[in-house]
Amino acid sequence: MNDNLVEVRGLKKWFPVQTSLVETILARKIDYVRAVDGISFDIRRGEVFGLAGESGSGKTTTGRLILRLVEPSEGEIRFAGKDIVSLGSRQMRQLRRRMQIIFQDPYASLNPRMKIGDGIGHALEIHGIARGATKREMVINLMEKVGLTPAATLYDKYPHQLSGGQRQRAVIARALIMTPELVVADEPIAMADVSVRALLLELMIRLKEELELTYLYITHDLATAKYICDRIAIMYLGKIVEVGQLKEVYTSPLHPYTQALLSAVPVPDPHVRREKELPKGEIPNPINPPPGCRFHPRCPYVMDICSVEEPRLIEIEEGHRVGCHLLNQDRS
Amino acid sequence: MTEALLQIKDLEVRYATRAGLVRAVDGVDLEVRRGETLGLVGESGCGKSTLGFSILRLIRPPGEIVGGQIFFGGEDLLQKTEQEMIHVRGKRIAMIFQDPMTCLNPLQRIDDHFIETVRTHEKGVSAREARQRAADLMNKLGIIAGRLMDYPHQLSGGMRQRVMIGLALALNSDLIIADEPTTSLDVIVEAQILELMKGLKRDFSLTMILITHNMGIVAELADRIAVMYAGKLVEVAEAVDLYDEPLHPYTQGLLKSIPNISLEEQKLETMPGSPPDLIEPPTGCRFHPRCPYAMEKCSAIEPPMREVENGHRAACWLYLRSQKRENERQPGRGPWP
Amino acid sequence: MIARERATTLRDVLRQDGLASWFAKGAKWYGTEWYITLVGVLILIVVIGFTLLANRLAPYDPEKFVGQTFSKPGSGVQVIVVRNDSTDVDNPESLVGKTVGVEVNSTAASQLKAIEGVTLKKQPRVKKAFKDLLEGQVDAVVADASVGQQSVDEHPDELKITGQPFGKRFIMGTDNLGRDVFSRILHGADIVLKVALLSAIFSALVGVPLGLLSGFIGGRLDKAVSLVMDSVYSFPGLILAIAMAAMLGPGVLNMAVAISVVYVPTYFRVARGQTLSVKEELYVEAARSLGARAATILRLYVFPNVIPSIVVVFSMNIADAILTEAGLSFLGLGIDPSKPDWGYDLSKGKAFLPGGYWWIITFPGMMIALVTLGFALFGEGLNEILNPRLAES
Repeated sequence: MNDNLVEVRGLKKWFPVQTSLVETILARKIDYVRAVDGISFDIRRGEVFGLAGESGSGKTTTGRLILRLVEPSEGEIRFAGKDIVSLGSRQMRQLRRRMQIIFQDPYASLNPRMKIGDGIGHALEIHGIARGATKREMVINLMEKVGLTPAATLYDKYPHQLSGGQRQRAVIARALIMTPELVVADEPIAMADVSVRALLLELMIRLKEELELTYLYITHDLATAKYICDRIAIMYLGKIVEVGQLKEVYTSPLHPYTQALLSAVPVPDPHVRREKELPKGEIPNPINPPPGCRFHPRCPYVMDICSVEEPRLIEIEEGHRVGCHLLNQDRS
Repeated sequence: MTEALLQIKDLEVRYATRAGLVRAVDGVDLEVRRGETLGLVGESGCGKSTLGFSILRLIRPPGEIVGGQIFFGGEDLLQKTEQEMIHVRGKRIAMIFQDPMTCLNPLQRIDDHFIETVRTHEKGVSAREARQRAADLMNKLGIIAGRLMDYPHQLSGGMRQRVMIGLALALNSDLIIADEPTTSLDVIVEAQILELMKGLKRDFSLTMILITHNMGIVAELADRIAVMYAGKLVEVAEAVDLYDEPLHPYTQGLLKSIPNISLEEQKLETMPGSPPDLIEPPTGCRFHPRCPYAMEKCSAIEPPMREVENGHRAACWLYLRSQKRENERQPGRGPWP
Repeated sequence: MIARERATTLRDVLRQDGLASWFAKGAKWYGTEWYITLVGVLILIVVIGFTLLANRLAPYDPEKFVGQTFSKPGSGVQVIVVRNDSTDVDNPESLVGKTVGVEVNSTAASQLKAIEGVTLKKQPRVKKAFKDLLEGQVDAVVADASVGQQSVDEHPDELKITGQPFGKRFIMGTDNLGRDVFSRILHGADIVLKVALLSAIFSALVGVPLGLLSGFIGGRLDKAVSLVMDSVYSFPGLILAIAMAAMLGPGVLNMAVAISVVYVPTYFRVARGQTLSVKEELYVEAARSLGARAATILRLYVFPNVIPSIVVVFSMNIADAILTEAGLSFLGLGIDPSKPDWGYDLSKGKAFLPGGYWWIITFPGMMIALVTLGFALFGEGLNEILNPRLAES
């Protein structure tokens, strides 16, 4: 019995780059930003699946793709066993009841002209679940659950009258009002104050248990990911380089990029002094990624094959897959 | 005992807003010793950046420095004229800003940035000399000489930040103020810059104020740490002491709520509420509405900053009861076991 | 410094009651510029008052010739001057059956014409009329109060003023046709406001939905409509209005339509621009993620966030439309020339300025400027209120 809520195969999203009229006439070749360039993974029901990476990794775009807020250039996306890429707009709208998103920016993701309560409960109206007094009641119940109290008073307030932490709770509530099955959390605590982050994290964990949710947790903060995720996938320049159980990946990271990433995370403890193995250079331009393995120009273990052939994700241990020629070599 | 390079006494900075007067920095005493890296930490709105800008008198209306003194090299910076401050900025106190893209001139090449900076403050330096200095510096910062001819937009984020650091070092300033220098950078680049700054600290014996909300980078870089909350200083200690034995309940709460990747198991502890309104802050101790140890006194009278242990100061009534019996060790001295 | 001090004081004042606290509350809610908007609102209330109460407030019929041409502001009050030995004349009614000397075309002449049974002996100059009085050729002379008083002062032993001064003052003087300027101002407000308001509403009703749809849907529709709008926009406004007005003919409604055409592209541009930017906002994406249909998103997420900028345009538009309407009337393309209209009066008044008759052009011009200012201030104020103030930090 397949308990995968989401299955992604060969997902790609290439954004055409805007060029000037002259360039278009002369060059005739369109450049693409290969934001997501062929990734495959599964999200199991009930788990918190982490998608971690730096800027340009494609993690945010992946989150949007799964919800089809952005149309995939190529690839398959299956939700609860059914393909969703070919769905018409009406069917997709109905499907949205089951998959929601928590945005990163609580300031920008709430409609400034809608009362908080109406903003949270709008989905109920859209899908004909409830309106009027019933809607209000449902929203107030949820507001209390997420800690937006006194709910009855805050219901009628506008976003600019709330604090950042309150706004983010509203964003969370909005995503959960229809009790979706999948929640994509796109850096949900990155913009919150440091002391508020723990509150929001705990809230998300509690709600997951209570409402039986599945999370796709997108983040660049590996310390937070460690706290909340069950499994994690590391992305680099549009590709997944490593995926596996969180404890596995963190204790024995196999891909050089994962190793670098983990060693780079600052630790709030002055006694911990680590030798950081930092790759040289920075993330290259996603318009023309390096050939072969994307990481090879920066990799301390680079071999000849790395600049020629892209490594495939190979399962090294149960559930732990890596895309690196180092490990392929050993195995052959 | 190293003497203080910078001494801030009772600094008060306010912003006039529509809703009222924001007391961004409300009576802060702080010293920075020669050769040390002082971490100034706190959440957004606590006043740490405002404090940093105040040192260089970069506060503009609707903000205003309304009280206090900042002693630097024997003079009170707040008494200087704007003309005199121009000579201080860059030359004697340099600043590294959060977003390098907004601080570098998009129409100037990198080496021109250096030449302009050097020649503005040091008359008599030829362009060639300045360029040489720039090349040497950039070398130390890990930028190859060829990149000097580039414009800022051609550089990556990490490189731009290196340029910013280089500009701050170009004039051999006595003090460097770094305001969230790595916040806008990716994880790996951040780590690269941190390593770089560690090296520079060593090689140049820098005196630096590191302003940040990231408790991780301050643990790596700072010698001493000052914690701010709602415009006030709540705790100052050697870095190791702060993490080992945080005295102020806010510091404790903060440290316990930050995910620490080096821990096997961690249970985050949450602090209820959120940072207060700075227009009408809570009476008495500003943290008392969120403090698990709040006493009656806390909501009435503001606790003064007192030295609790050697070099470890905190502004909390929990530790001031013991003022009367200073030489005894009390069991109830503090919540930290 | 001052803002800082005022802010502290305001907060203290807030705790008290009374007028001061009301002021402070306004300032707290809205900022210390709120009284500027209040000025704008007051101006508009006055002007709207004019419109609604014109019939009651106007001393004279604006279209009738009620006084001497080019009477100065403040004149109009008439007195009866008689010889010292006269006893039976003491008010206008007692002039029935008498011969009265007046200056030709004077206010007195027009007013006495209305009274039956009064014989008028007109003289080209009022001085001659007084000569008639002194010589006994007329029983009384009716003239402007100041003139009458002057004569009496010159001949204190022979002449006196009898009865009360009568007649309504021409607060703003009379124009070249002897019409009371003030009455024309009052009645003119009606037309001006109607035309300006109607045209602004028409423009908004056409321009805003087009802008919203064009911006939201994009693609070829957007390109096509934008092209049309840009063409209209490139016409100089007044010329376009003239063309339209000439085509449509006179009348309030036609004028409103003619002027509205000029401003449709402005609304379109602003609405489209705002729509394009709001479309990219995260909360619109959030609405899509909830499963909202395009129409719902447009109605609840885009439109309410576009509206604030439109409202500002609206009030500025009215101000501009008033000026355009004045321009059209100026050129004679507006309504019936005899009807009071600020723009028309402005045009006519221009010719008399060199003659020293400043009030014919000044008062209509002042009113146009004042109403424009009123709407502009109001629009500014509205802008302050409607734009949400994000994060109090």
